[in-house]
Amino acid sequence: MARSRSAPLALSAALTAAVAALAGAAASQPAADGITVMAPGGRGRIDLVTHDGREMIALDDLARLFRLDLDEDSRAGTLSVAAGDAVIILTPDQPLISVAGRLVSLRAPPRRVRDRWLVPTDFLARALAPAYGQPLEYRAQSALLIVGGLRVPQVAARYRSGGGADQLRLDVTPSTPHTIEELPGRLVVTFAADELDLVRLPRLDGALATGFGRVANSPGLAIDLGPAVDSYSVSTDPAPGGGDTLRIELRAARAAAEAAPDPAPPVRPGPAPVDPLPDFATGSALRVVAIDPGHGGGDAGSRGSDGALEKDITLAVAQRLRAVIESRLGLRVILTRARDETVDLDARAAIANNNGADLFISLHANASTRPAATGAEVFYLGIDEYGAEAQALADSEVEPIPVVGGGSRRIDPVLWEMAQIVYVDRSALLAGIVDAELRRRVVMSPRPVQQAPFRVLVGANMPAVLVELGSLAYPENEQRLTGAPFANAVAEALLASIQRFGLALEHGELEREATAGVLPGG
Amino acid sequence: MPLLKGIVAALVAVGLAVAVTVVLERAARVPDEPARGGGGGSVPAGVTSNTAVLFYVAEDGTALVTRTVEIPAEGDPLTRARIVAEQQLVPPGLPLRSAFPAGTRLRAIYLTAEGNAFVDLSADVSAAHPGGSLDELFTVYALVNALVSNVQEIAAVQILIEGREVDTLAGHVDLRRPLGLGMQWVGGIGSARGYPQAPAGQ
Repeated sequence: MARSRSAPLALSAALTAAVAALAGAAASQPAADGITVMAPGGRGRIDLVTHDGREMIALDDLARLFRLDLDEDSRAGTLSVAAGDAVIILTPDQPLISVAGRLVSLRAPPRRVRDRWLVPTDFLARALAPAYGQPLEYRAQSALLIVGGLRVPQVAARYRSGGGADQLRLDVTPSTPHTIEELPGRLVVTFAADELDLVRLPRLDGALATGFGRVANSPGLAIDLGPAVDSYSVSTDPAPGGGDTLRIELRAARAAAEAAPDPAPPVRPGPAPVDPLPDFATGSALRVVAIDPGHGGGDAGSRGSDGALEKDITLAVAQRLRAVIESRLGLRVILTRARDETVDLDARAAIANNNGADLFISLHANASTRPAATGAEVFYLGIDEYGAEAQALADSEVEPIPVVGGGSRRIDPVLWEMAQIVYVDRSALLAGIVDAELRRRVVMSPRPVQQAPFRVLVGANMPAVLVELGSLAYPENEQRLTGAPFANAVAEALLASIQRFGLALEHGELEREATAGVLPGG
Repeated sequence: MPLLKGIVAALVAVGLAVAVTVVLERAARVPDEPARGGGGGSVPAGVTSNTAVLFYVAEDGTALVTRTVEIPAEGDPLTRARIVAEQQLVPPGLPLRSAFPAGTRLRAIYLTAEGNAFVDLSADVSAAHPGGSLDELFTVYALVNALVSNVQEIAAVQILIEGREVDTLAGHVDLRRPLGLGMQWVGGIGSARGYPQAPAGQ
């Protein structure tokens, strides 16, 4: 499935060949029922499929155009989409997908409908573009997919008439050099571009100009001048958003004779009505997850009445969780221990920190003999126990510090051993999500999400929670906690928690909840 | 002179009345029912006592609950702290449970001018601990809360084992610093504050 580094060129050539046959028939305007693909070698089209009232794209269509490899894992229920060296992993009905190891959310979840995988159109910008290996820009407004860095400025045309002087205004984004050629009865504006994305046509009823349209086989626009036109003038001004506003003033004969210095009222330049460029940097809140199987080696942890050991249960659940995260989210998973060995508490946080983990989940089990206390529990760090110093750190702003040679760097003044302090709000959000997902699947303690000064959490330099899976005290509990169904249920709950947490971070849920003062457990 | 005698007599009468009242009041102040099996505290007859609040694991295991006991009134904070800690380690009667593993002993206790108490426990508190985050929290905060609640001079407590600083008792609670009062572990589910007492007769 892996491809070589030269794959993007091959893909481009393939796309060129694939769309060449369509080039002659390609419409200048986007098809109403599809997406126009513009590539260096020609054009093509991707059909849109309406599903549940939403426009979707069939992945097999994309695969043919872009030579993607689709590999469905029927056991895991996922689909892998290989684009060069990058892999996109989708799960049906889950809007959060993995793109080259980064979590990305789509506006709608992928659907599997009669052997076809359908994805929303923002899949192009948010998943395919980052994975594809060469520039790929999707413009939703014009249903246009631009491949390979083609220069395709977006042009919106408006026309205003009256008082013997008309104005054609062209908002061009991005700023693109142009020339104006005067032909008999016609002006031609030609842009230094490969194609034009004409998103708005002018209305010319009763105007001095009698026609407006594209120039065949050229990135140009033609304005037909009616017989009343006596003269014209052109001005170009920068527009907000990095574009230009090109104004062509047309004057009638009588108006030109009378006019003189004020050919037209001033036009206030406004923002160009452009579709925002796709943001390739978003949707990447989570890439690495650290799972900490509690205890191990000489530290067996709690012990069940029939001999089950906490260290074995936490390791089994961690390994199951790693498998589902890797196969279904495509994220990198770090285990603080992968076998029965002693790892001290400092080292566990350090392993997560040194691997750049974005999330830390520590797994434990207890041996409570009280029936009301035998369910699962979720904890995150309590900072009250670390005193005023910790509170000050949690509240501190990142200060710019001057550096040698001029300038400054923003230094986060948090002690390494108390790295968790600044993540407490995010950990609270994570804990609330984990608690909710576990409650759907396993027996829970009646205690709500709790804060405690746990040693393994305080040094974690990322959002972190500790999960007590349940009690080993009774033989029936012990049997349940050591069984595969329990490990699977916990793994599913934590997998769903990671997905929800990633979405929450991306959608700014933390800020909203913090503003409302309703952080879980806070 | 008769006037002076009268005044003296009146003062003596008032003094006697006050003394009698105090004696009667002391005699009427009965400690909560002593916990069966110990833990209720005991004050020898004629020794001045104070009420102390101790912390035990509730019957359902989901929280700490309190029980008041009478302990000898001592002026010395260190002595009071030692008495409270020793009383806290004594198992209560059923259905309450001690938060400490059987065999846990107080080895020493130190106070600093800053209000920190260092409590040195025997190795059993760690070696015999059943594990589990919540049970470990109960162990730590039963002792911390007992000392901070009952000894005004103590603001925070750090637990030592066999004379040494430790990271944790059983792999969870950070013991590298003195810990302050933790009332979130006391009371019913969701109750973060308050001093709920164990039901009468426990």
